Amino acid sequence: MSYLLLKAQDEAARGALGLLRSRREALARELFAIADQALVTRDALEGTIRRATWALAVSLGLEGRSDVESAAFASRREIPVSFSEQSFWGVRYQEARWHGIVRSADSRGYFFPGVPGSTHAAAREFEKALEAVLRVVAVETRFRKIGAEIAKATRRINVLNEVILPDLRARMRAILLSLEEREREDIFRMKRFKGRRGDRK
Amino acid sequence: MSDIFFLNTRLRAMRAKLLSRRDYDRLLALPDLPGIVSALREGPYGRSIDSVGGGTPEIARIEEALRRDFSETLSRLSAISSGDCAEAVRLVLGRWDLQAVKTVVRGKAVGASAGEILSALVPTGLHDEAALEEMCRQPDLRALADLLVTWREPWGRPLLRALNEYREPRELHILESALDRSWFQQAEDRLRSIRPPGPGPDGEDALSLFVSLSVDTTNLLTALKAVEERIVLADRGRHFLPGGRVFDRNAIDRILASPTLEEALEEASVSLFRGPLAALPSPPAGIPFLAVVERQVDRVPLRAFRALFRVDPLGWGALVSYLLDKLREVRNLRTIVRARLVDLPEAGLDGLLILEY
Repeated sequence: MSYLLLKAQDEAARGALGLLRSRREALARELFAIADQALVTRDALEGTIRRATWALAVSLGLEGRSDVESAAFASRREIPVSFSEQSFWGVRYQEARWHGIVRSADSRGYFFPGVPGSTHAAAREFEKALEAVLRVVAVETRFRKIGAEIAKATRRINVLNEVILPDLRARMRAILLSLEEREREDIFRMKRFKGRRGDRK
Repeated sequence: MSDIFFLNTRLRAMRAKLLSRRDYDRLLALPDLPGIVSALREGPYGRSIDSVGGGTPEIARIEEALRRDFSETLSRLSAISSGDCAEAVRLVLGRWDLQAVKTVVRGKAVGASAGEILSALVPTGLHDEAALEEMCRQPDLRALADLLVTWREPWGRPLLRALNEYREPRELHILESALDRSWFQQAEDRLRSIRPPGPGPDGEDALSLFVSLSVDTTNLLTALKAVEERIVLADRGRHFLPGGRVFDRNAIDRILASPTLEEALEEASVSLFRGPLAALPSPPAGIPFLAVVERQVDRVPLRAFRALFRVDPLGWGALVSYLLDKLREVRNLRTIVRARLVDLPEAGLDGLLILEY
């Protein structure tokens, strides 16, 4: 009974091992796809931040901190970002969604004829930079989650391969050995019994 | 000696302190901010830089010093003028006063603290620090408008009227548009009350040219921004100020109808604007094109008033020309400093500076 139970456990562990391996492969494929995406978004972020920094420097240079801050008062707002939970092979991650971060000059709150073009450009470039940051955050969060999940799956595979399955096999072998031992003892006992009966006759 | 002669004598003395081309070349040759700070400390900005004190980052120190110096210049102009000159100075400083009122309005609309708003203001002399502080301390926009009406400020009534239409911060454009129109109305009223000191070339009056060129440049840049961002202006009467000489309603309509910014600039290359817009440099990638266009457009009033000042050194042209030159200098210095801070390409910096015009 115990052997049959261990055998069932062994089969289940092998099934789990197969499942974990295919999960790890799928996650690894996804990780490589995201890695490319992460590199592209990182590069894009660097370019966007540089452009935004230059545009702000130009605006601060031409108009001064006072005028830029004045325009910034008018354009204050809540950033329209929402998060929804997504799942890939059981890996749950938060996906950021946003719309309308980059605004046109006439929807930033102020009366746009009264704000210089350099300040519009700085605002626009920083809105683009914010979108780029959110894109990077979305991709890199997913990247980290999937990376951590691959590490977890690898640990589980190793535990199954190196601890659980060998232990189950050892226990099954021990049961088999003990059964064989018991069988040999039975045969020996039967032979002795048969021998005694023969002597009596 | 009449008021305008006294004012012009003081303006000549102030003009003598403006940086020369050689000073700019020396500053541009300096590779870092500490070098620029020490070079500026040796010149007319030394007192302002020392007044900021140490302990602040160099960039903040220079910018604060330039802000204080410019604010002192505006206040000094108010202080040394009386009679017609005071009216002329008020007319010219009206644009900066408008910006100060707009800043307070914007701050109040979004619930910014008085300290935050005050740090974004440049006292012009028309409103001193105490008056600006009192404006910033008002609890809301209506209280601000009431205060301005009580002080018999010309911005009070237009603001109060516009507040009847205003409902939420997103409608700030209603208030700002009313203030812009009020500036133009005040300028027109002042022009009527000021006795012209003498005709310029072709009988040109510098103050009315200042108002009309301010309107023209504002309208042109509004149209260019609309074209660049593809904004459809349904209410053109609200977005464009009346009183321009170069760009009438039809000219603005033609610029707005241009499909690209380049075509809009071609359409705008007329009269005084032809030369600067024809010589428009193409900035390197990453430098906002419209900022470069704005700098070229800034050359138009600079050239016009320099010409008026040369022809009639004792007219209002001296006042306007000095103020524009001072503003040019402050912008140049701020831009050089900011460019050094973020390693802006030299080609981009060239398009943003007005060293000669």
